[in-house]
Amino acid sequence: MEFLISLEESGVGMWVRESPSLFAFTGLIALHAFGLAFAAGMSTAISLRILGVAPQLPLAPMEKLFPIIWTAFSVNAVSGGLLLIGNATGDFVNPIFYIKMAFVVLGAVSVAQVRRRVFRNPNQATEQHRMLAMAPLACWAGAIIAGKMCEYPTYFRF
Amino acid sequence: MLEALGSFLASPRLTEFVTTTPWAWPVAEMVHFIGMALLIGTVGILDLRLLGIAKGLPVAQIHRLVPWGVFGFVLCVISGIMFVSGDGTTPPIARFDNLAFQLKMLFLALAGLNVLAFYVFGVARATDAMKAGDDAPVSGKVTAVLSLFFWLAVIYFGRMIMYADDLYVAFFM
Repeated sequence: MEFLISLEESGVGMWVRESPSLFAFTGLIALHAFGLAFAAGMSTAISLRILGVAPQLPLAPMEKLFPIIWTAFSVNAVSGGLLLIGNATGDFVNPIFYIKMAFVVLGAVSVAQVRRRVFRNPNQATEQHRMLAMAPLACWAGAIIAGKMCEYPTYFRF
Repeated sequence: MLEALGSFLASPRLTEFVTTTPWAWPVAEMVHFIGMALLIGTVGILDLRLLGIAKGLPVAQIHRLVPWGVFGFVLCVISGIMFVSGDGTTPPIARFDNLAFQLKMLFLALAGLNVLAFYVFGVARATDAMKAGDDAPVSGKVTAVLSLFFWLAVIYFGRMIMYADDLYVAFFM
C-alpha cells in the first residue's frame, strides 16, 4: 500500500490527477477512448468478417489493419498506464481491475492468434477460425464492462 | 431547440429510472462505448481505405460492414438518451447547458451532414466503384478525413462532459 501511495503521490501521478493541462487526466481519458474505438472496433470488424458478415469482402487485405490495431492498443497501454499511476490506490486494490486486465491481455493474445492462424490461410475459413474469431469480441466486451465498473467503483459494491 | 428535444426525450419515468437505479448510468456507459467501437471499427475502416490504407479492399464490400456501425450508433443513441435524462444533480449529469455536451452535439451534426454529403453528392457511388488497388477521388478523401475528424471530436467532447466545468475554468482563466 505504501508503494501504491508513493506511486500515486509521485510527480507523474500528481501531474495526471491535478494538472490543468488538456494533455493530463482529461486528455488521457480521451486518448484511451480513441484507442479503444480503433483497437477493439477494427478487431471486431475483422472478427465479424470471419464470422460471415460481408462474405464478399476479401479477408487477406484486412491484414493491413493489424498495425493500426496494435498502434491503438499501444496508445491505450501508455494512456492506461499513466491513468493507473494517477489512481494506483484505487485500481490496484479493486479486484475488478484485475479482471479487466485479464480481458485486455486475453484480447491481445486472441487478436494475435487470429492473425497467426486465420490470416495464414485466409481463403479457407474453418469452424476453428470462427471459434477463434469470437474470442476478441468476448474479450473486448468484457474489458469495456469491467473497465467501466472500475471507473465507477462506488456503483458496484459486492 | 436542444432543450425542447431534451424534454421530449427525457420522460419523467425515464428520469426516475436513471436517477434511482445506481447501475443504470454506468451500464449505459458500457453500451455507449461498445456502440462507439462498432461505429469507429466499421466506418473507420471505410475512411482509412479511402485514404489509401488496406487498398486491397474493394470499397463496395466494406460498405457491407457499415450496418454494424449503424447498429453501434443506435446503441449510442439509446444509451445517450439515458445520459441526458437525469435531473443534473446526481449522475447521469449530462446537461444541455454543458459546453462540452453542446460541442459534442455540434460535431455530431457535422458528422451527420458529412454522411449526408457522402450519399447526396454521389461520393458514395463514385467510391463504391473502387476496386482493389484503386485510389479514391479527392471528394472521397475529403469526406474520409472529415468523417474521422468529426467522430473523434464527438468522442473527445463526449469524454469531456463530466469534466467540462473544471476544464473550461482552467482553459479560460
